[in-house]
Amino acid sequence: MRSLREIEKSVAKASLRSDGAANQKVLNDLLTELDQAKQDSLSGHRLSGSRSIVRRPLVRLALAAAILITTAIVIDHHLPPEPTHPGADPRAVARVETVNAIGLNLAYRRGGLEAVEQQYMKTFKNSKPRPPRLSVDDLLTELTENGDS
Amino acid sequence: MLERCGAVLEDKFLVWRMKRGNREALCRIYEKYRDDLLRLAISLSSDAATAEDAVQDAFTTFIRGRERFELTGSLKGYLATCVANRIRNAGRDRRSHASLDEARQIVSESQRPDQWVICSEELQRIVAALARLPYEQREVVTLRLQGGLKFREIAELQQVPTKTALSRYRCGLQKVRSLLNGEVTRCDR
Repeated sequence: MRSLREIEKSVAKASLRSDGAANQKVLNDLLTELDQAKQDSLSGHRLSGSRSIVRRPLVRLALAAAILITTAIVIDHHLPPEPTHPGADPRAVARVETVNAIGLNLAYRRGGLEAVEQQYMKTFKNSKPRPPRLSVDDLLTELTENGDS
Repeated sequence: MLERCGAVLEDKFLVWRMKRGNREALCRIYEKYRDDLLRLAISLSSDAATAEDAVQDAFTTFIRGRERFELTGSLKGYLATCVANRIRNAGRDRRSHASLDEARQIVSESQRPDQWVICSEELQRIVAALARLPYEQREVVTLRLQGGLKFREIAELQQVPTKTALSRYRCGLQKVRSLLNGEVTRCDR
């Protein structure tokens, strides 16, 4: 009759023998599995590394900025150059500015600040809202009226 | 106590090396725990083929999940739990009570040519006795005595209170004792 203590010992220590060659085969399979897992994890690390770089906010911002700048440069190179003042003759602009300066100077000499103010008022009157389409005759009429007044 | 601490430290070191893909560490772990796990698997399943598959599967799973693995308790306990889960999931374990003769036949006469586990006479008798227990009792007795797990850990595995696991152990061990001593008992809790 064996006691519970002896039974515990027997269950815990009952011997077993495993075949050496078969053990080696199993171990080789496990080692192959380990090598395979190592390779998989290496390739996984490479992928996750590149992904983690893109995930960083600063890198993403820089990447977006670079793409925008590149796109802008490409578009700028392909578009035709725009004129600085479309439809404006630089000589005419300069002439008008001179006339305005001379006109203000003459007005000041003639009647002081009051005359200058009148000149301003006239200018504002002339630059009233215009209809979207003006004929040449309309423009000439308006200029004549201004000249008369 | 010192010996136990040394074993735990050695296991931690082996796991640390194995996690970095060291082949020697895997060989050492395999050689260290192979026979214990095979004995445990045979006791649980009463079938050498199932036991061999379960042990190999447990090691394969351990290798595949090595990067996420953190050794908190004993390595043997972890591997024993893996083996127990494999055998449970295999569905080939004989939960219904196999007869003593049937169980004896399972581990001795039905040896396949490619079978690599040879049980001693004593182990055959123990396996045959364990096969007569309800699976839950067999699992507690085996995991406690052969896997070295604590009752708390076994209870977690079985999802029962610790007291239930303890009760199953006592009852199961008593029945094994009676069977090995040639007595007849009834304790199927």
